[in-house]
Amino acid sequence: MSNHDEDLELDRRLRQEILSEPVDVSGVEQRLRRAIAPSHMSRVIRAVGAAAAILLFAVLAFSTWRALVPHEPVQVCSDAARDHLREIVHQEPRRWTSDVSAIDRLAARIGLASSPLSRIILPGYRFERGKLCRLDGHVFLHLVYSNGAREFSLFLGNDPKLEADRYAADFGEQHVATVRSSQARALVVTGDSSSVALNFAQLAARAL
Amino acid sequence: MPNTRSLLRVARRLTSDTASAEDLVQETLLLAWRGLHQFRAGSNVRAWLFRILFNEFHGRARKPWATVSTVPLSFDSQRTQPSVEQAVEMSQALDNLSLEHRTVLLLGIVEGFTSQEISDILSVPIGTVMSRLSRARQALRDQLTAAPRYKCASEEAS
Repeated sequence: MSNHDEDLELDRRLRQEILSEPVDVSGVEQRLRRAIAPSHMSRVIRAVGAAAAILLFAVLAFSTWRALVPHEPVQVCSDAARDHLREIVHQEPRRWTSDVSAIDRLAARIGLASSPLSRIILPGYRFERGKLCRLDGHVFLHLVYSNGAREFSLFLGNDPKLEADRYAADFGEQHVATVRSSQARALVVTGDSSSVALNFAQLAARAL
Repeated sequence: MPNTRSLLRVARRLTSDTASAEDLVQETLLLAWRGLHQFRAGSNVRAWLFRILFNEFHGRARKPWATVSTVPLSFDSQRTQPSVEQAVEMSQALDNLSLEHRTVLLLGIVEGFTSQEISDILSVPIGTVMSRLSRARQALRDQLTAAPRYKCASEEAS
């Protein structure tokens, strides 16, 4: 037998003898699982905590930005179009008032000039009813005007955080226009046309 | 868990008792778990684990209170292949070798690592690995030749 063959035989014997020894790994594996489990859990908890902190920071930053930085009244217009569609077009029931003195009191509550109904003259239309509402978190006085055949909504508010003196947008079939004067913001939603909405919003804003 | 058996088999030949071997393997796998990001994808995970095992083993050996010696392992008397006699003979011969020789035989012959992989695991030049392997084989052969034939208690009684 050559040296190489002797080496091969020795290797085979060594491998066979050692590999045939029983090796019980259950103890090690149990201890390892116990050691890893808390560390794995704490990593998961830390990850969830970090994600929650980031989310909280994002929410706070966004809220602060919304509260402090003037921004375009897109959401306000969108909310106004939605309210008009539900409450005027689809006539979902709401608590309205047609009493002029009640409307004056509501206007005073949100810091508008007194007697807005007597100030605002919209050719061909007359005041029907009104109530307070919220658009994108801001309180507005929602007034409904009618010409006997059609109705439109006029929202009056007083919030300096809304940017843009003039802004117009269409939401589906609803045309929305808003104009800001030194005293208040007027916002009109109508199914007629954008120009009608803008015209009425300008008239209302100038009157306040 | 893959590789635990191989790690424990080698660790038992390095340390003084089964408990120390289990400690060593547990610490090896924990270090691997914590350092998983350091593992390079595509490289040999077995060799990486054994490198951690030997680093940890040598780290412990450097501590003044550590002891590095081996004790005879227990054998399953019900085993038929190979015989208890042969197993004990080989086991004792292996235990009588120096740590360096025992290590290269375990890694190269039993666990099947290449000389290059052993070189990486032990952080020694490949030429050193090859010469150690050659000397380790000769030392093992000498041990087997010199050692008296082991006899089972039952054989002695008869």
